[in-house]
Amino acid sequence: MTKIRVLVVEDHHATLEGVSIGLSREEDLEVVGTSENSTEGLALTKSLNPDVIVLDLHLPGALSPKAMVEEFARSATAKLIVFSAENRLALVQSCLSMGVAAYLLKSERVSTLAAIIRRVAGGEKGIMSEQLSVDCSRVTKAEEEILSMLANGLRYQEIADARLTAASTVRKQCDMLLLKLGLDSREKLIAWAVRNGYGTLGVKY
Amino acid sequence: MEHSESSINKLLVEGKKFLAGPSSFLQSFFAPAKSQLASRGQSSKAGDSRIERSLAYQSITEDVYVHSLDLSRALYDVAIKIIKEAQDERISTIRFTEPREVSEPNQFLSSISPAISDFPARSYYRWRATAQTKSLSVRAAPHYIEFFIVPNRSVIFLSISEFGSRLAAKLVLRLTESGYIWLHNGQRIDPDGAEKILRQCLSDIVDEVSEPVAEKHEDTKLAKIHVKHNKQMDGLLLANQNLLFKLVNEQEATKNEIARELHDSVLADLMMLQRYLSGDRELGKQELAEIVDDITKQLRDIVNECTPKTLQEWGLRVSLESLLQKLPERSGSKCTFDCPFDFPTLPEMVELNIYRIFQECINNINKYARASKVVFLIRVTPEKITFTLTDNGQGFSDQVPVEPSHGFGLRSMNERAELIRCFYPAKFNIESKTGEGTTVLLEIELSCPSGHELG
Repeated sequence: MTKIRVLVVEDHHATLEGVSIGLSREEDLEVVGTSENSTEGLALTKSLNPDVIVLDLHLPGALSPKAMVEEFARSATAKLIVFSAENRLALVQSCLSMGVAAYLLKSERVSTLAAIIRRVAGGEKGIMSEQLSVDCSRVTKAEEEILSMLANGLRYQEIADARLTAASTVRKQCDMLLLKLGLDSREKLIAWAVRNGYGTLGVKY
Repeated sequence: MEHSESSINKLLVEGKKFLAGPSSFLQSFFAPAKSQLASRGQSSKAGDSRIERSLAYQSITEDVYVHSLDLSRALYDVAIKIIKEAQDERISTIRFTEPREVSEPNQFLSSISPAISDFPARSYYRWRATAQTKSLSVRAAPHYIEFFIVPNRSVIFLSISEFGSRLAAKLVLRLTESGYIWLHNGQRIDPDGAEKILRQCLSDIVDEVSEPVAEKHEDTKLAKIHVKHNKQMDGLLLANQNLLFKLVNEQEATKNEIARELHDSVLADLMMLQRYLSGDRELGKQELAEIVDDITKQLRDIVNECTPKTLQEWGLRVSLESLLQKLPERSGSKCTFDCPFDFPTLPEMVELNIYRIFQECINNINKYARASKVVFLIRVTPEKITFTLTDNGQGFSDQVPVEPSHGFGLRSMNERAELIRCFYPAKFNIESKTGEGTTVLLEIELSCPSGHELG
């Protein structure tokens, strides 16, 4: 069985090692080279001719992320996977439109990365982390705390005092919760919070 | 009441006859100090004995500041006497500002410009004689008295208007073996000399305006231009001050905004994390990671808002799209970004200001509009680029901005459009009606990229 040959370009040392070691454990993958900057990465691309390149967006060097991705896309026959913490959708889409096959967030597990490498090597395109699309409807821990305070009968001002923010901020956060939960009034929000057990979350104020 | 220039000089410089006993008055400069109380309360001789006291001390034990302050006060009295006894109305209309101690506002000034911070922190004993266009400003410090001739319009900035080229004379107090003496241009000065300096200064501040009546008609035009220029100058000075004030104000407002955002999001969540970690709530590893993720995200949002780094790295089109994509998760509006073609790269300054204008618009939509739909259309032709941002929110009326900070944002958008016009002719327009949403239009003409062909 021929292994899929992978080049990893990443300037964060711990991430680079973690990814390299993790991918080497996979039987069908082989990390043929690693680099910590874009110039060397481009040179290795030419000399090693890998099947897949795992590329960080923010690398030291003269190139901006966009210019760098363009450069890799132009000079490599390899499939490109961008592996970055950057989660803004327009930027992700911009990368995909430049010929990047997959865009993964750094919060993904190495096993997920390995799976995506296989899919990309098999010819798939336009893959992105699921988190990118569902992220915005997740209720954050701060919002959970507000729900728990609402369920315990606290008013906006009392929540604001407990959380050290302005009351207007709490109001905004509640509006946001209405939006995320598809509700339309503060009363319904409180009822929802109580029904879903936020009153007994065990948070002290 | 006609006087030629020479007659004014006569009045002021040579006209000692107008003074009651000028010679005795001035002789006292060098006479030994007599009674300290002799002249107090005697109006006609009020100046005399104090000049005497001040200048005549051969061995002085008092504080030198009181010494130079006394002389300055005495010179003031003499100046009043000269004016009172002058029979020329142009001279007799000179107004006086009483001597008093004035602290220099150097703290305030140096906070605006470091270049001004060189001015020493001190107070002066000051008095002023004001004619029609110029003033004589006399300031006394411990070891010297300075005479400045300053245009009236600069008097409000007096402390930064008294500089070398406006210095008309300077009396310096020097300690010698025989006691303190007053020097002028390195020479010991006598009473006649001091009075002569004073007269010359007073004559200098009226000279320019008091042109002979016979020549007045010829000079009317010139005088009018002069007055016009002065007015323009005053206008510019005022505009400059306003700008400075606005700049400092807006810096403060911006800093406050950032502080508030950091306080209410990042800081509040970090405090929550701290409460949980110190035992308020059991946290799993996954939950901990989530909280840190949220904080990171908020911090990144604030950082992205402040720096145009996205713009530099990804270009205007992607940056604008990214701004708009933030909106649904912040306000729930449904957003459409419609820009079929990438557009040409514009000068950095133009791209930055386009970006900032729409950043402000989108922030406004998020904060105030309560819009359910937002459409951002960008149309590109070889001649022009048109940006249209429309929301169906609650809008606002032109007369009453929703909040002061909102009005502030609108103004700064107009100013940014003005900056774009330094490069290209541009149209910028905000249309809004209460309850009917808002449309922002920015149209940039590419065909003549120059600042000189603006309509």
